[in-house]
Amino acid sequence: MAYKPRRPRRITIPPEIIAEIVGYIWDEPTLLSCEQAASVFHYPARKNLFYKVCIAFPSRSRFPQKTPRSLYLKLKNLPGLAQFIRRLVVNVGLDHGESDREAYHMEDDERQRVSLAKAIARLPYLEALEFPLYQRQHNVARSWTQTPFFPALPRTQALNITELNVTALNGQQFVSFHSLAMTLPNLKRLKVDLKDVHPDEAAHIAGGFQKRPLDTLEIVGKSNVKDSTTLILSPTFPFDLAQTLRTLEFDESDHHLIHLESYYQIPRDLTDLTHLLRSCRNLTEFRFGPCREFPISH
Amino acid sequence: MVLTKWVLCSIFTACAEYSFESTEMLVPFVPLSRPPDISGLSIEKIVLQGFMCEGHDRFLPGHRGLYTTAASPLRWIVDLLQTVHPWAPIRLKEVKLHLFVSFHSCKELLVLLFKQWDEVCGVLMSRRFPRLRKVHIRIVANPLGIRTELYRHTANYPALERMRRAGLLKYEFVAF
Repeated sequence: MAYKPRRPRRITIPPEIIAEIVGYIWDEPTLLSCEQAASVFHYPARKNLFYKVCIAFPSRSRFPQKTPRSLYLKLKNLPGLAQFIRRLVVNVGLDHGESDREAYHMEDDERQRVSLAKAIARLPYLEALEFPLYQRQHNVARSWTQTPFFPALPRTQALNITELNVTALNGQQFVSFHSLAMTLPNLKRLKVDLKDVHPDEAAHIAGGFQKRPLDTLEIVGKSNVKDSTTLILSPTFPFDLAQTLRTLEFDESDHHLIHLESYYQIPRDLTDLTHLLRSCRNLTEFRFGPCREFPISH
Repeated sequence: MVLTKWVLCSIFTACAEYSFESTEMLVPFVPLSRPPDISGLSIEKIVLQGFMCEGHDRFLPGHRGLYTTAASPLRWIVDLLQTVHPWAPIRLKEVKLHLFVSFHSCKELLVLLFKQWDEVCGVLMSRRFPRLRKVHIRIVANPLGIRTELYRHTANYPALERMRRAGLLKYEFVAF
């Protein structure tokens, strides 16, 4: 009797388990390979690949594929991608030198801002919106990117967004930040660098608005404790921290920013931190990360 | 052959020293003023991060001599915790201390750091924090050939060991 090899038994793995396994993959090349391997990998791989999308604002000649307009066009051509995008990172002040500054035009800036608003309108499940300052070390972008970069959000997106990172905020843009904050009723987490935002600049905002609740506040970068405390506790700040804040994170250090001139500002004054802590009555968590600033002990 | 080897070794050492020095120069060191007063607050969790580095006085004209010794964040942390009065305890449940030790003068910094645990543990286990259930200490260091057996476990440090036996401490030493 001739030997007849048995056909190997097919093992069927449920798609939920495959999705769970693919969920642990984080690097882009592997996810791209997974996506192309089989149709069962398609959905979980795309879920990870497009969870966070980074673009730059204002548009830069160096990365034309990373502009708000290119994102808008991509979403227009492939509307299926929109369901996967949960976080949108808009890198503000991407500056690679003189050529980028020459390529900068106000008209183009305006067009990109409209495209950004249109792109966001196509993202129904967007949960987090980030405006980090992209390049901080030789940052001149703050002085020449004058236009407010916050887009007008449609109602659906405004309701979904729970996390906002506005570390690129500067003094001139406080009013537009205020308007944006007032349109986000479900915001839980705010990350902000209040270095250049002076309380006086916000003073002309008309009062009479109802302050929004906020769960977590992260103050990062080179925010000054005294000025930040004054601004946060001022009546113009759009969030009611005294009643609702649960977690306060104060991280003055910035791993990417090294300012030699900051050596002369010693010692770092923390007297207002006590006032801030006492003002937030329902605070349950305090995170303090001044990584490089501590007094000497022998 | 020997000469070539010696020259290469010298160049390598010089480059290594230069790179340490140049990297170390990038570490800014600005002291903090007194810690905030946390007495009477309803905080349940505190997370503190500290970076231990050898202080430099070269960027601080007028403050020469202040930054010539190694610095440690533990003194500041102890002072912060001591702002709570023992007779007015707070309901702190969790403390996380994340400490990064600079690779330059790592041995001296580690010796200094581990000298101070008695004081930290004393404050944490005092009647200031009766509801404290979890203390997480994480030390990240680049020891560059230093023997780290002493620091990997809490057995050699009675204060830390006492906390561990009490079920409070989760201790991690990460050398990379």
